[in-house]
Amino acid sequence: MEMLFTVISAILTPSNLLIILGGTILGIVFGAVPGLSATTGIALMLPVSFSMSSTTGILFLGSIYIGGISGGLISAILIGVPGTPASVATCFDGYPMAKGGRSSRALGIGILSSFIGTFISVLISMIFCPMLAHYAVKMGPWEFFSLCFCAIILVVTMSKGNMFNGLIAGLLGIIVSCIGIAPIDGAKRFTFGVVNLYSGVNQIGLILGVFAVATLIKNFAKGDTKTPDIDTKGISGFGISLREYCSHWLLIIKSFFIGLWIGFLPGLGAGLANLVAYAQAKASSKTPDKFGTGCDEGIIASETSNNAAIGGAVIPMVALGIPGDTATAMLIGGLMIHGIDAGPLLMTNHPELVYCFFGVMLFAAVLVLILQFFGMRTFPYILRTPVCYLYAAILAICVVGAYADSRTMFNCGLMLVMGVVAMLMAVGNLPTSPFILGYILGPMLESNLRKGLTYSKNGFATFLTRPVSLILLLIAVGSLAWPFIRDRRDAKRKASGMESEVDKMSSVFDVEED
Amino acid sequence: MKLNKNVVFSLALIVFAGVVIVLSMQLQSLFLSQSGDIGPKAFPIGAAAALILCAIGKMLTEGRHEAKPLFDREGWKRVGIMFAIMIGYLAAMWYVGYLISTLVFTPMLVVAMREDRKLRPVTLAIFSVVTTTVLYFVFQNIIMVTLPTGVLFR
Repeated sequence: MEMLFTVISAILTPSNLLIILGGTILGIVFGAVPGLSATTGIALMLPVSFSMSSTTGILFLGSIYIGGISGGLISAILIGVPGTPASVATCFDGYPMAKGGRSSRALGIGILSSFIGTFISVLISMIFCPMLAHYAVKMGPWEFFSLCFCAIILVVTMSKGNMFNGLIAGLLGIIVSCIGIAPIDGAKRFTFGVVNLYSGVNQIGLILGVFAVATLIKNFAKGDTKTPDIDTKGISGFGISLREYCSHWLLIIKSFFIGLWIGFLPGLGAGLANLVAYAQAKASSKTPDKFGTGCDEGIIASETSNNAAIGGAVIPMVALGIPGDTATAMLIGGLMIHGIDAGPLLMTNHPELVYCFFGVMLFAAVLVLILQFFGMRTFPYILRTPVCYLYAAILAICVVGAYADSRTMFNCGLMLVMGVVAMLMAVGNLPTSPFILGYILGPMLESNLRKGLTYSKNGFATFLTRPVSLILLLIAVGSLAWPFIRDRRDAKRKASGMESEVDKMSSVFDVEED
Repeated sequence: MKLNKNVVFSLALIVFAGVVIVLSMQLQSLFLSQSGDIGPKAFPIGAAAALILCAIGKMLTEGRHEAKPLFDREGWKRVGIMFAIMIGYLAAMWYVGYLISTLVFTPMLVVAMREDRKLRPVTLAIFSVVTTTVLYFVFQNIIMVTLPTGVLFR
């Protein structure tokens, strides 16, 4: 009860309310503009959050996260281009429905589904996080090493494309995380006498370089910067009655649990959840031929699942300190900036912060519902913002943000170098999610490995003799075999003309990561 | 195996990993007790060794197919222009500080990314002044970060 009061008073403080409102609107904007995403929004606002108290900072970043995932539906429905990878499947039925003059209905269904997905999944994560954290505090460095290792391997093997590319990206992230003072003994590594590197590669510089500068420049180089034409004339009200919406309850529940589970698995998240839920909805529908022509079920499946993935991704982040996706990796970065280590002790040491985070996600979900309902005619105008102005302003924010973190121009240079690194990674088809995960989890991986070896007499064998550690390592090793099985299965399916729905859909857009 | 960009990229990764291993070998441990600690060298060496194996794996799997280019020539030209402007922006900020550099470089970024859009000088000027002022106000007065004034004006 006391905690509830703390959370409510933190959220309802006038200044925090303004910050949450601003964060949610900003998140919707970042989610709506094609090429940007919740991840870009959080990356860009990390430097702004460090001037705030840790509670206000997490309220701000949490509201951007929620707004960002929901915002993607606006462009997906109105211009047929997903604002974020989380909304790819929303295009399939949302856009045809809008083109058929039913924009209100498409947006209304999307907004309601987003709300249900976010709100209930956050409530579920509130129940599961303390249970998981309670168990996790009993884990030693052996289990934590195996957990981090397992998370990185899962991110690599469960994502699309060549497994070696994911592994390389993760290993590059780990090598970058080695720069600076080593854990345990404090030896200086790869600093080349540069004082600015003693504390490691600056997180803000790296995140802004990889997720903002490189993303914008890649979009511009591909020519994805044209301003679309949008018709907002027919938009008013939800366009669907609550009774009609609730008649799809079974689909809502199925899509919700698909999203929650996929979000929980490290590295997957909303980008895949919406495609799987859509494919499932189509496969189990009595009228599958209606899918793709503007049917309610397609939008419901996609938007419920991608938002349910939020709650799923938050569980390992809060309870174990393991990010479920790129956006939660950024949120962990945000906590680190405030000197707070995400992990099982977070719930013990900073319960007020954790519950404020849950609280703001619930509050932001309601706020998104209200804002998107009343702003149905206004938000589409975001898409009319000339991209050249928007990108120029964002790049200026990146430069100032990178400077603000360390108050040195070195960090701005580092950001640019990281932008070049991200561009080189794109040349070699390397995904960025494993890279950031390797960078965030690298120090945890090393310190737990070294602690584990120091604390035990049996050396590396202890990692195999402790049951939980062994299970996690077996999962990791076992999942390394998965891409080979998947490739062989896909090749067979393609040869027999039975390509899976998810494969067909993800080949329409380049859906690999957020 | 064809010598495509993925093979060249993999070879570059192997060279990079080799450099990491060589640099790691030179690391001095501040203490190496009898406790079984592996010291500061082992982790980066392990990661670099794994990188070499994965780069070989990439070479063997992707070297068999034609590699798709990331951008066409025009795309790479755009990348070059953007990085050149950004480097210029940072250099200008170092010498003349935040205010002048942002006033000059934000319109340059807009012009570089304008595509076929016609830009009005007045709009550009207003955009430049508003962006510079808003960022200055937010960072200087709200976040309390003193933005660079430039070495020339110190």
